[in-house]
Amino acid sequence: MISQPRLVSILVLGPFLILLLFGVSYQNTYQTLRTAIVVPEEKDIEAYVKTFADQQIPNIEIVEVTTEKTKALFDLQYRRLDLVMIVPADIPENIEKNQQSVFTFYHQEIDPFDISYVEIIVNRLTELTNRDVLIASVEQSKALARTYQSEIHTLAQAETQLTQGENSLGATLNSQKVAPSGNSTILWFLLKSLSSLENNPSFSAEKNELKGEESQLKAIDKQLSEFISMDSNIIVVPFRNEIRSLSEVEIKPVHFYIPSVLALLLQHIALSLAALSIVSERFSGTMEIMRASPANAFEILIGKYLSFSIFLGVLTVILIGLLHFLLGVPMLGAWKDLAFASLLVVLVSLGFGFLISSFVRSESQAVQFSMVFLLASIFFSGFFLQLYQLRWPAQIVSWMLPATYGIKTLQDIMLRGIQPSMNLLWILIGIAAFLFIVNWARLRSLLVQG
Amino acid sequence: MAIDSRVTETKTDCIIETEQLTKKFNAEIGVEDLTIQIPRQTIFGFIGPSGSGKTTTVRLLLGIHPPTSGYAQVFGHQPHRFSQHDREKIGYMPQLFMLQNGLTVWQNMAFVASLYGMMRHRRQRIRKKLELVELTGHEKKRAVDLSGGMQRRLSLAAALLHDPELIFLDEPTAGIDPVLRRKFWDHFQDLKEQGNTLFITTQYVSEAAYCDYVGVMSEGRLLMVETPENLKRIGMGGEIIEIKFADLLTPSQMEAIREQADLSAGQVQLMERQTLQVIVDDAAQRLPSLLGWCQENKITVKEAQKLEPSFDDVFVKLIERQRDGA
Repeated sequence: MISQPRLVSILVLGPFLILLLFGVSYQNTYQTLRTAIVVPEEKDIEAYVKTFADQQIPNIEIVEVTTEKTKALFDLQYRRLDLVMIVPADIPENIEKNQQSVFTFYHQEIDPFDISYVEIIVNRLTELTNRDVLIASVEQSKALARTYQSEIHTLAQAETQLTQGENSLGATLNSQKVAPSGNSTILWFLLKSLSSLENNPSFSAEKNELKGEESQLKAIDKQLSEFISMDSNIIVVPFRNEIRSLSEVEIKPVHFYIPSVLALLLQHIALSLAALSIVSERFSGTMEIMRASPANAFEILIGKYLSFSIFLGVLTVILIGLLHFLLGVPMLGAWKDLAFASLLVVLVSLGFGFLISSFVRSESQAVQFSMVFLLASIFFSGFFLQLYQLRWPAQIVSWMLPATYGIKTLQDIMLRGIQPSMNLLWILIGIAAFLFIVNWARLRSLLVQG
Repeated sequence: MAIDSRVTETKTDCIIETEQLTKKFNAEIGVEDLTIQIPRQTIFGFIGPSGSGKTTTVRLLLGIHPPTSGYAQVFGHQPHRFSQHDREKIGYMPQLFMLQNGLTVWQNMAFVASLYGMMRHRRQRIRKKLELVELTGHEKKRAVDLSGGMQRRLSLAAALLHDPELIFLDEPTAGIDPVLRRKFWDHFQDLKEQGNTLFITTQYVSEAAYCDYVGVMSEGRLLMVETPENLKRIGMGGEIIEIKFADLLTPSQMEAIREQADLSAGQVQLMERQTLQVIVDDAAQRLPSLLGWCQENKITVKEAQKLEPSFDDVFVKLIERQRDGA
């Protein structure tokens, strides 16, 4: 080993650099959930929600307030949103019925950690809404109180006029017993005044005025009665939430890791096989037979890609079959999508493997490189840490790893039941094509130079 | 000694032609100034000690190595610019076993068949070639489990699988028992009869006898190209007549024989006191006169014959001569 300094450096420096980069790039941050609020088609609710959405809410970015629930859920399904909040239409009716209204939250998370995180954020959001409603209620109550206060002032003025202008009425009033205390004093006073005026035709204008005040007071009385009859819990906590996943199938925590393991496994096997293939042929001499044969670099490379892809295809079918049919791992998406995404992950991994194989000087080096690749994939592919928890320079490494694409696409297909992102697939196709061209050029050079 | 490396065919009949072909690996010489012409439908033997440049020459002619200087043409094309069609006409058996150890005999043959794009009659051809090298019944054995000789036979079968027109065999008989070795050479003769050209390197000097032409390599240089007969003549300095006498020869009789035959001291060698080897230009012409002289001088000859030296002896002589700078 001492005679192979490159091997030693890969063995020691490779894992060290990976751990160093991971340590430097890890950030203890939380995801900001891109959220849409779906409101019923009532102008006043929408306006209120828009005002609510304008405020800064930690870890939530209100992307839109819309009345189109289907579109919002579609965007959620395809990961353009992280959360959709459905505001119910029957809020006033529920309050009248002394019932809490329910905000329904939809998410598309499958990671147990992320699901817990969504639950925390949703609870906070609901609490915030309740608090806002409570503040608004207090403000409304104050406004109402101001109205009542104005009415009282009006009545007081009427009383003064009556007192000053009409001794008979004053006498009548004075003859009454002491008025009851509290709010009913106003009503009692008013009724007494009215009854006196009934018998006095010279005060018809005041009589009419007092009749108007009577109806106002009846309305106030009604409102007060309704307020008194309300459940205090509903006043303080008018809303609760329900959190639902778009997936109808229960995703167990162990299921969440299956696509990741599968992607990692496919990458590692493909990369290791390819990394060993050219280097072993170079040193066993098989390449000399190839060089003397009519097969050119393109044909040899196509043959290698084809044979390894078929082998890994069979392996994938067996693995997924066992996982799905024996262990009950969900497969919510289309099988053809799964096959295509797996094939791309395999092709890119093979590309990296052939590249390694054409540069290394021994099989030991090839194995070592593939192990370093595996180690990097565990830390940077999103296998156990989400990519947003890594600083952007490290995310460049992440997006160079086939496993990163594999994990995302296989999770989407198997656990979310959606088509994988075409952007990711196009990037994979691009990397696979680029690596094929580089490997082709490299193999041509090897066949010519030896 | 002047080296004529051109055989006596016209240039158009040559399947291989090189002119001052040189290959250097950094400062180290692999092959130097190799000039050679090999006609079609011949067996060309390439003999030389280990490290003399035989394999490098084969690789140059296959286009595996590009030359450092000089040029080579095979089928009228430069090997390192061979077309696929050119390569389809060439078979190559490397010196070492270079097939896949992890694959079975049959899988290795299938692998080579796929390299040559053989789709039709593949199974039939593989079966036929395995039969030829006596590997029938071993199809399912992994290459790693074969003996060294069996691996050589598998390599040979793989080289012949696509019925090439020009066949390069780098020490095909190394590690093979004499009986099978003989069978191999018989088959090489059959291939030649069928119109194929064979370029065979070997360390078994005696195998030069099976070749139409023999090239002798030493230290990256071609010493000569000759027919086996001429090679012997050149190597030994002429033809050898061996005479066994009934009585012991005296020094004066020895001197008398040398004077009579007009031969130098090096050309007359007393092996034992009763056996004499005489190197002459033409044994058929000189033997009767030598026998006549013995009779005249009352020296009883027990036995006299033209001696066929072994190629090993010839080869050793040639190499010694080259090293001595002759």
